[in-house]
This record gives sequence, structure tokens and C-alpha cells, in this order.
Amino acid sequence: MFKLSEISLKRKLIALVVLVGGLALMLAFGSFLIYDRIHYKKQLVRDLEILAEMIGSNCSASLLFNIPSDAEEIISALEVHPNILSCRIFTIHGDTFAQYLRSDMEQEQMNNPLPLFQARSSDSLSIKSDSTWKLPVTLRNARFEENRLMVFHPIVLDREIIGAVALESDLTVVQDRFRKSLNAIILVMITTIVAMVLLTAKLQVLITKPIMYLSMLAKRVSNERDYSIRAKKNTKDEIGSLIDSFNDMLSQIEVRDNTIQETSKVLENQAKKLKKELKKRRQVERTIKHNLKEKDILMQEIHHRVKNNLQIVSSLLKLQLRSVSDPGTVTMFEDCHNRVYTMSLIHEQLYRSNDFSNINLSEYIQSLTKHLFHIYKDPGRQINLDINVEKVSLDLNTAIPSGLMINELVSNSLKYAFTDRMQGRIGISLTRADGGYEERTARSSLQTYVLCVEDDGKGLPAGLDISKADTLGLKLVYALTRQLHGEVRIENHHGTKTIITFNIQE
Amino acid sequence: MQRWNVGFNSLNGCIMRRLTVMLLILSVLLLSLGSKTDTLTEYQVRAAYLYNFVKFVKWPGSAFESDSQPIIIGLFSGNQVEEELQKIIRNRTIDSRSIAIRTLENPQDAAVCHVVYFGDIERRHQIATINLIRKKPILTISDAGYFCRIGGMIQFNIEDNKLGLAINRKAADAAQLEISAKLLRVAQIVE
Repeated sequence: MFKLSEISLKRKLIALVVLVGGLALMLAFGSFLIYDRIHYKKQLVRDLEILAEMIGSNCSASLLFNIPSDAEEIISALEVHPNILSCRIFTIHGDTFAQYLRSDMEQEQMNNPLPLFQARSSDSLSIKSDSTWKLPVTLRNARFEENRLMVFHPIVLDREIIGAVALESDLTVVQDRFRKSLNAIILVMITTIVAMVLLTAKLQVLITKPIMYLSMLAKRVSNERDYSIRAKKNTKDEIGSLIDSFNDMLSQIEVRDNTIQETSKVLENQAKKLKKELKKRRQVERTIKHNLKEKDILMQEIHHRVKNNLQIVSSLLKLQLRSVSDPGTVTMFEDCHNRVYTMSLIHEQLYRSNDFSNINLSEYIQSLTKHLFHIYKDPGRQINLDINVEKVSLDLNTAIPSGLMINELVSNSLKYAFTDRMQGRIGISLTRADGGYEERTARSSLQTYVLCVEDDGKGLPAGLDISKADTLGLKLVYALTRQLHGEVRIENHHGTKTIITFNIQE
Repeated sequence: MQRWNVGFNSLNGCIMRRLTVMLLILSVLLLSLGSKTDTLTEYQVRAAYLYNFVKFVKWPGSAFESDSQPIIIGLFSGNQVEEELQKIIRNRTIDSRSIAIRTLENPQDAAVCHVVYFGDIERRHQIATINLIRKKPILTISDAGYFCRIGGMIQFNIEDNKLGLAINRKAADAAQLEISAKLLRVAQIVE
């Protein structure tokens, strides 16, 4: 699609000059044509009046002495005027004295001029007339009628009207002149417009050259990013001001560019430094990761070895147990064996898992109770175990005391709670307490856990104070609770319910 | 170009034609007696023509004693045109000069005139007068068919309401009278 904005400045300038020039020419020539037409019509009227005057004068004698043939001979000379359609000479009485018709005219086509010139304002000529006067009052007149011009002129002799001449002319001369003028004007306009285009094409350089020069410079600056380029000023006009502004703008850009480049260099240096630092840190990170891996392996190895050692201890205790016959000693050895196994189970779980700091307590309790039920199994007794442990991970420092406490409490239940029955139930639960001992700080929070081991056995002796218990198992429970900064509470109602509450920092 | 209906070859034919016209005019006058009609009489026509001829002639400055001197038209006594001419020239001017009529009794009286009109019956005065005023700026007019031949300047006749006109240009030139080309072109020029 044709877009004005896409046209070059040169073409716009040429188009503008041609448009304005063309319009001015059209206006001038149009005015000239109108003026010429009006003026030429007036001229035609004047010419026709003069012709009528001459005819009238020449025919005055013919008219006075009543010789129509002479008058007709005079007016027949109008043949040399091809635009004269007809001519009539009237007597003083208004009768046609003589007439001329152009060869191509018919009598019927000849207009009677008398009615046209009747009832006009009074004649300006103070001419004498007699009673026989029948000609129109106003004799000198001209009228344009349907592409015709009619002139009515008196024949005056010695200030006395003796008749009148009526001339009828077509307006072909006016139309011919108009056509010729129009043709000439079109020719002149075309020539002028061509000349304007050529001249403007040459002279537009005066205006467009500095602008094109500036445009070229701007493009060069854009392509080469060279802001040190300056335009040369040759004029003091608006273009000169534009060049000044352009140069000033370039200076400002150059200053900013330099600043940016300097800043860029500084930033580049900093980036390099940061890159180096990053590289160092990555190396450190790799080292740390490597060390961490080594540590994990080491930890795994340690836990493995600890577990193995504990199992060796456990096995030793078990071997030793075979040589002991005293039931009290057997029980002591079994308890020791279970406690060592409890600890070894934790280390086993730790080295089997990837996380060496936390123990999945649910899995651990499952394994532990399975072992305990295996140790203290009684073929005739049916003890059900309910474990309700939330998904909790505890660190080694909490897991080992917790495991030992569960070991002591479950062992105690299995050993003593159901001696007088064949069926029973042991329940283990570890739940998060809502509120209670929860204490939150800005950096970490303390979560209160409640460990509950219960059975529906015969219960502990009434009035038992765990802090003052004699048995090692309960002493251990109490001591381990204190180690966890917790509290222990025993409920003796339809069995034994030991509730241990402790806080863990998460 | 034949505008002149009266033959100049035969004097007798001319006289005969003139008599015929006279008889016709006489019969018209007799018929019109007692009842006034709009038809122009021969004298009225002649008077009008006489007046009109004067319009086409220019006299030399020496012909007039002053600018206000009227153009004097001389008619021999008894000419019936005089009465009609009097009516026509009343309040009229030619070339800013008024017109006066002078009744001539003999040829000598014509010397003070600017125009002398001879009726066709005033034959006896014609030659004498013409000879007397030859080369003087006095326009001589007559409706006699031979007038130009005897040295007269303008001769005319009217037949069927049409004018026959002849002008002796030589005589006019000799008298320093300037006859308009407009008049000359409607007349037969007699050298």
C-alpha cells in the first residue's frame, strides 16, 4: 500500500512544489480564463456595436432615399464575418428595410429583435423623433440569447434617428477562443510543471543535501558506534541549528558512552573476580561434598563397626548366658543383651540408611519390639502389640534414650505384666503434643513429643515412685527421661501406662 | 448597378416619363381633395428628399459668413415644394446650422444661397442660374432628367416611390462641395 511516510524527502519536496505550483497556476489560469471570457464577450459586444454603427452609417443614405437594394448590398459584405448570423435594417417605422442571412441560416431561424428590446428604460440619447416613431425606445442594446449575441443599434443622422440596425452573431468565436486558450494553458501548465519538476529536482539538493548528509552521518554513527564523528556546518539557517544540535547530541552520547565503557570495564573486572571467586567456591564445594561423602562413608563405617561391636558384645553376653544357671544372673544377662541389642539396632538402622543423623522411629520400634517379642516369647501366651507412632525422625541423641526406654518398658511388660494370664496387649505410641511444652523461638522451635508404653497386665506395685525405684530398668527410664529433659509419669489403672514427655528441637 | 430608372439616352422619353409622373401625382392630389389622408404628396416627398440631400453635403468654410449663418435653400417663386420644405426644416438643424428658405425671383438671387432647387417646370432659369453660380459653393438640385448634363449637381426623380438619383461630381468638385460617399454610392455618377 502507498504510504506517504515511506516516500523519500526528495520526492516529497518535488511533489509539494508541483502541487502548490500546479494549484497556483490553475488558480491563475482559471481566473485568467474567466476574466478573458468576460472581457472577450464585452469586446465582442463593442466590436458588434462598431460594426452596427458602420453598417448604419453606410446605409443611412439608402435608408433615407429608400434604396433597400443598396442597403442589402452593403450588408451582404457581412459574409466576411462568418460569425454574423443575420443583420436587419429597420426603417423609422419599425419595418424591415433590408436583411442579411448567413448562407446556412433559414429565415425561420432569424430572431426578431424588436420584442427583445422593447419596454426598456428611456434612451440616453436625446434624439428627436416624430409621431411616426415606432422603433423601441432604447435602441442601443446588446443581449446574449442562447449562444447568440444580439445588438440593436440606431442609425442616426444629424442627431435624428432614421432607422436601426440589428445584428445577430453566434458565440463560436468565444468558444473557439476559450478552447484555444484552454489548450494553450494546458500546454503552458504541462511545460511549467515539467520545468518545475526538473528545477525542483535540481534545486531540492539545497535543502535535502544537508539533511541527507546528516542522515548518512547518523547511520554511520549507528553502524560504527563511533560517537566522535561530527557534522560539518556550512549554513546558519535551521539546518545549521540542526547540525549544531546533532553535534551536541553526539558529544553528550560520546561522554555517556565513555562513562559506560569505563563502568563496563570496572564491571568486567569485577565479573572476572567474581568468576574466579565462584570457581574457588565451587572447588571448595566440591571438596566439601567430597569430604561430606567421605564423612558419610566414615559414619556408615563407624555405625557399622559400632553395630558390629555391639552385636559382638551382645553375642558375647549371649554366649556367657549359656554358662550361667542362676535365674537372677540370667535375667541380668538377658537385660544387658537386650540393651546392647537395642543400641546396635539403632546403629544398624543408621548405617543402612542414607541419613546418618536421624532415625525413622517407626521402623526402629517395629524391629525392636520384634526382637523383644522373640526373646521373651512364651508359646502359650498371646500378647498383642499395638504400635501407633507418627512419622517421626529423631537424632541419635534422642533415639538411643528413646529406644532404651521402650526396650526397658516393653521388656518389663513382657516379663512381668502377663505372668498370671495367657493373653494381653501392649501398646506403644509416640505422638506430637499440641501446645503443651511447645516453645518457639525465632530461629528454631521446640516440639513436645509424648511417648506412651502401656499394657493391660497386672500393673506395677501401688505407690511406686519411679524416681526412687530399685529396679535398673525403671532407674534407666527415669535417668534417660532426665537426660532428655523430659518428664515421666506412671499410671496404674487396668495395667501400667508409662507416659514420657520430652521436647525436641526441630 | 442600375438604380436609375430614368433613361438618360432619350430626352423625349424622359419628358414623357416625367409627364406621366406628374399626371399620376395630379390625379392623386385630385382624388385626395376634400379628404385629408396620410399618404405623402409628391411635394412632401420632394421636400423631404431635398432636405435629406443637404445632409450629405459639406460646404467649404468660405461659403458661410459666420458659424451661425443658416444654410440657405433657394427656391424660385411659385415652387410648391417650398411650403412642405418649410414644415420639414422647422426646428431642425444640419451640422449645427439652421436652415432658411429664400424665394428666388431671378438667377442673380441664387448667388447668396447654399442650395438652389429647381422644379422641373423652372427650366427657363436653370441654365442661366447654373452658369451664373458655376464654381461657387452652391449645391444645385433638380428633378429634371437632364439636369446633370447642363451642369447641375444632383438630379432625382421618384417613380413607384423609388428614387432615381444622379450626381454630377465634377460640378460638385468644381464648386468645392464635398458630397458624402454615402450619397454617392446610392447615386449614378455623371462626369
